[in-house]
Amino acid sequence: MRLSSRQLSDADIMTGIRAGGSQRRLYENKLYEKYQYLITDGVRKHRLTEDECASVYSDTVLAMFDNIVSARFEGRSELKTYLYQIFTNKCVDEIRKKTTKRSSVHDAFSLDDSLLQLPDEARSIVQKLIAQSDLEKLHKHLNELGDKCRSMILSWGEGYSDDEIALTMGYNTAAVAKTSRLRCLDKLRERFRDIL
Amino acid sequence: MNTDLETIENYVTGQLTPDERVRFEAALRTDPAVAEALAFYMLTKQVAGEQAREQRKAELDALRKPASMWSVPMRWAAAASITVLLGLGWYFLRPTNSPEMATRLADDYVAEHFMELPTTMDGGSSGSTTVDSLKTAVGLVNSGKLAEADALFLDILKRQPTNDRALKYAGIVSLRQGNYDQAITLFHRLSERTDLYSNPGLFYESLALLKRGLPMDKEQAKKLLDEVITRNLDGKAEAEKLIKSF
Repeated sequence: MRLSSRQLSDADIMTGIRAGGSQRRLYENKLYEKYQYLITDGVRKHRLTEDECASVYSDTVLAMFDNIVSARFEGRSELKTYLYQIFTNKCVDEIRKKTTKRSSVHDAFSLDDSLLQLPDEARSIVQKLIAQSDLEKLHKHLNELGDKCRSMILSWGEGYSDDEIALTMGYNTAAVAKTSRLRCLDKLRERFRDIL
Repeated sequence: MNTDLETIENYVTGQLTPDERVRFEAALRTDPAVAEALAFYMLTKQVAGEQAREQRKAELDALRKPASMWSVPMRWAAAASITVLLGLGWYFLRPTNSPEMATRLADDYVAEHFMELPTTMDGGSSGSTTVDSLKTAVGLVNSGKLAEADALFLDILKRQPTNDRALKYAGIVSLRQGNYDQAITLFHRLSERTDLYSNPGLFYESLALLKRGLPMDKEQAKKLLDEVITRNLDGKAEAEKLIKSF
């Protein structure tokens, strides 16, 4: 599989993304570039502006990356068809958002499935704490944490494993990367503790 | 209860033993510090994921190429349309009545009439120096030795500057060699001979002008061809064809 190829096959792109590591982003970029003509299609078919369509398209490929990595996309349909379907749905969402002016509904904060694993009583306690927390301040502290710590926490938030973080950030082992990451999280918690 | 983030992470990722898990969940209900630590961990992961996503989105946006006016299918359609238009353009605008067409006809005439010269010489006594030289020069032309023939014709013309055959053949050799200036001069000199029963000088001069193709040459060639037709000179039939192609 040659990354330098002008246009890779869908199979090559998916293999590259699933392989992870430092090459993953390059394959993700290839996927973005390969189907970016959908932006122009969206402008024509959905009467959205080009910037709106570009934003929808970026959201689409980001969702596609997740689906490829998590194997939710199993390759039963063509990648192009699957991508087009997501893109179309998101365009329709964007139109609804514009026409009903209910963007705040879509921006609502929602936690992932990990919260569901908690026992009911504990979940309600944690949910209450989260609801009371100042998200803006957490964003602010994360932004001010320092480049290396922030990159590490963002990679973790994006779903990269400690192995991959070690590889991309130059740590000798995943264990070292994990220790550093948890130290960074502690640092952030210290700054955030007073408002939680 | 330990509220270090490693324990929290081990709980969230299912790495605690069943006993540890039971103890952790019991502490979660009773120890606010544990609940706070877990809330922080989950919230931070979510916020980090959002920021990473925004950052990645910005990186992807930077890959965006300037918008093309048309999508891929539309570009194919446009390419097909252009091909059809070019085809139609060629059909309607092809050079059927253009100087280029006249030049092509001139080429055809040269190829048909100037590649081999007649070896029979009338109007001159065999054995004379000039006739012998002309025969030799024509032989050289017919054997493809154009430069030698050219030199010999010019030599004859030095001796007999108005020799019509020498002027005609020297002009033809010059034309075939691409020496159009000389060909025009020689054919013009031939055309000035008014004492000849048959004189293709003007027609040949027009051919040489068409071949040279300088800015005013085609106009000049057309005038000469008109004159050939009007005066009913040698080459009138061909001149009429050429005029139509202008």
